[in-house]
Amino acid sequence: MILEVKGLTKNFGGLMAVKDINFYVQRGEILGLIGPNGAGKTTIFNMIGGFFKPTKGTVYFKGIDITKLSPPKICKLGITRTFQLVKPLSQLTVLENVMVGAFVRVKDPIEARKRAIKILEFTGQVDKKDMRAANLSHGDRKKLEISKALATQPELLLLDECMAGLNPHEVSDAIEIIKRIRESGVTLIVIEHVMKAIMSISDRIIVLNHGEKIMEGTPDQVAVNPEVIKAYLGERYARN
Amino acid sequence: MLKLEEFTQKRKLIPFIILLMLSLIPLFIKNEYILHLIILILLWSILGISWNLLGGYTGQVSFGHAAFFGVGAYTACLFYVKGGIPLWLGIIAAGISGALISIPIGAICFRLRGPYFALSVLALAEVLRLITLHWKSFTEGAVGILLIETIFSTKLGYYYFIIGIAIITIIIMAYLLQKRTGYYFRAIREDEDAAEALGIFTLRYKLFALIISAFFTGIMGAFFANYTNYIDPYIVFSIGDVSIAMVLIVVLGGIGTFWGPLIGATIVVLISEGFRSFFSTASLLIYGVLIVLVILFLPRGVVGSIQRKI
Repeated sequence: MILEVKGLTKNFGGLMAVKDINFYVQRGEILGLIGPNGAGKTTIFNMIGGFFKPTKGTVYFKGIDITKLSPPKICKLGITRTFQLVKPLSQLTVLENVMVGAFVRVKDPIEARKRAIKILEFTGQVDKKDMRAANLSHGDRKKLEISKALATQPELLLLDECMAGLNPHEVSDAIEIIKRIRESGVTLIVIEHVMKAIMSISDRIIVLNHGEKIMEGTPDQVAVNPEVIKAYLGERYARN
Repeated sequence: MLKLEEFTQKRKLIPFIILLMLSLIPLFIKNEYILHLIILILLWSILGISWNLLGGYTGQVSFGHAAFFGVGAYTACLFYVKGGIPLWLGIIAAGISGALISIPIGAICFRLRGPYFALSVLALAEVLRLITLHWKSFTEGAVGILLIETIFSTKLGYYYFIIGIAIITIIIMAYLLQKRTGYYFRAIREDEDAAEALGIFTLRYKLFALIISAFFTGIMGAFFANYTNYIDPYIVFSIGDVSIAMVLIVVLGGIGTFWGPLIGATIVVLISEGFRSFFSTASLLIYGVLIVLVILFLPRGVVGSIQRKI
């Protein structure tokens, strides 16, 4: 188990965003995390990544308790997360953005540049490497978010809605990239709303609603589960 | 591609070529006023470069750099007047005390997001001004400190001295910016959350930028004290004449650019000296007008606006 989450809870004042979440991730698998908006998916990513401190519960990464560690420390240990609302380094070029990611593993700018170029070739963004991030299209920014994260050489990559707002061609491209990321040995947890995508790439899926885990299983099992259908489409569809 | 790299390589030499040319000027021009202007331009350039490292590249805006300037000026003077420590050493001590006083502010404020740092440095400058003003037994208060003996007795001495400091400052700046540190500074400026998610310890790097910025600002304070022979709390801790002036120079020249502070310093010194000859009190008015014009028409500064067009 590369990641183990036990009793993870987050309370914002009176709002219980995440309640007693337990799950694990095996090395090399792709775990899908789905649920309606507001279910608590990004909050879980924030807690794993060290951006929020859980109200209760622990997160173990490779057996180490990382619950109270800071985000940069967690990145150095091997977990990198992307952001749902992308955070490009706007005034820097695409290449420089990815170099910043590479710098967590290497100090020399020339070496960082080499690695960044390799990553951009992997994600198919090399032709845009000297463009300022501020001038990128939405799809390119989403891809840059992945490129930046890959440059940090994570063992576990948390992708937060990396396909939001992408056209069908871009979605296929993203699915392709995610599969290649897994092939390269990286474990993934993917939050996604694009059902076709998440069903096709995930080994296992966890479904969240109102901060609680309502189901866990293979994509096929999840697709027919009445609780899941109820959460997304409402009671009427579930009864059928 | 190769042409661009050649160009940027040669571009790195330009500051040194300029400084080399400046070094040769006294051979041809004996007019002390012109030397004085160049000294002022270099003084403000170095101050601008210092502020720009923290405010322009790392995105941590400070409205109170007079705190470090004044601490530097008083450290050098008090070390000499009270402790008999040579003014040479006083300059280094000035930089160190500027850096030291910046650490508590940074250590506290850089953990927070928001305007806390900008306001705290401003408050620090004011507090230091008041302490210096009222602790008469130690600092001479409003009477100020008059240096009878200074490092150099000729303007020419200060001229070459500040060229030397400018060379060191530019070398250090250029070195930091092309290394990983420079990338990290800019990442912090662009998006701190993204920076943290990519493994950057933002608190450490912000503090690093602050300490270097405060160090050189302190050194300039000591230089100023030696050059003008006299300091008092109102002069060296001044919000308008020091803190805001530093911001204006960088913003006018181009915040976050390498050349911005130099261009901005040149423009501001020449304009304010020019107007001082004609109407002295209007110089403050000129500052205000300049700020308004920059905000309206040149928000990226002179250098920034040119870069945008390329």
